[in-house]
Amino acid sequence: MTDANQPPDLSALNDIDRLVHEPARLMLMAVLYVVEGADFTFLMNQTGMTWGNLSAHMSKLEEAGYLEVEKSFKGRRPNTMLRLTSRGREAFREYRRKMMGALVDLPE
Amino acid sequence: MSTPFDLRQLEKKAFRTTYEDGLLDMDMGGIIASMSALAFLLEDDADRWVNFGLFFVGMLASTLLYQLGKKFITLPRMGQVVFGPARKRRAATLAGILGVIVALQVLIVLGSVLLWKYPGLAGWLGWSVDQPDTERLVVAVIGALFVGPSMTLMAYFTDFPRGYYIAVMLSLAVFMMIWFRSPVIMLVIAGLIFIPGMVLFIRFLRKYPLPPAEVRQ
Repeated sequence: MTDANQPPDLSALNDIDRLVHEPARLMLMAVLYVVEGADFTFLMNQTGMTWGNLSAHMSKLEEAGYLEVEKSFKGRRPNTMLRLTSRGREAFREYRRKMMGALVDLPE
Repeated sequence: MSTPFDLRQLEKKAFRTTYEDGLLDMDMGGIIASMSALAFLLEDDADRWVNFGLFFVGMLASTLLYQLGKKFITLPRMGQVVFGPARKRRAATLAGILGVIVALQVLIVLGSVLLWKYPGLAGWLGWSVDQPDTERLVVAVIGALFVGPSMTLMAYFTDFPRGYYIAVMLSLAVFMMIWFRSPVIMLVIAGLIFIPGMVLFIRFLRKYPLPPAEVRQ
């Protein structure tokens, strides 16, 4: 909590991770942060995103090393589970810390 | 405070979507409906094996339908998710508490059998009940207290709000089964749990259509 007489420090927002900051990716990372892993269908239902949109954002997160894709078979059916890597979790935690630090004390 | 960063709420919301299919409600309704077969037992012991058979077949069928529904209807529509260690800890805690409750229930049942077999012991302890109605009332209350708190704990630890309603109905069902010996009351209560589940299930099928094959891979 900052001193009420001091203006809030917004400088932390300058170096936030823009890969996480994009709303659709933020939504995806938030959902994946609170679970251990999920498949495409679950993420589509939770975020309301289309398959194409989700796929594009997933690729970006995977390229950045924030996400890992685990392909396996359940019986004869292919099964793709998506998980945040420890790097992805750390990036999300850091993003959340910076945003909350900057915005929590702003007046209504 | 609920904000977009309230991750606990986000996790809870994601977790509770797993109950949106109403299958658990229908399963519980089915189990209570199966229990109605036992309501005849107290009156006529001649058909006890038929009654027990109906009860177990009903219970197994209900549970099997629940499992198959989850596997072939819910999962392909809702998708798969693995929740974090906090959920696993809650499940382990619940299993531990239920284990203790079941052990207590077994002790109470064994104690009751012992007291019925040796009425002198009950008299010596001052626990003898002379009136058959009073005896039945005590059994009905104990029966209701067996299932109600267990289901309430399940509702709490599994974040299943409708479970509290089921807990009340389940207690009522067991009490009515023993006190009134009426399978009709049991079936009505089973319906009061099953029908909302059915409504949820239909709503679930409309809300979550089967996604295209490319998504399911």
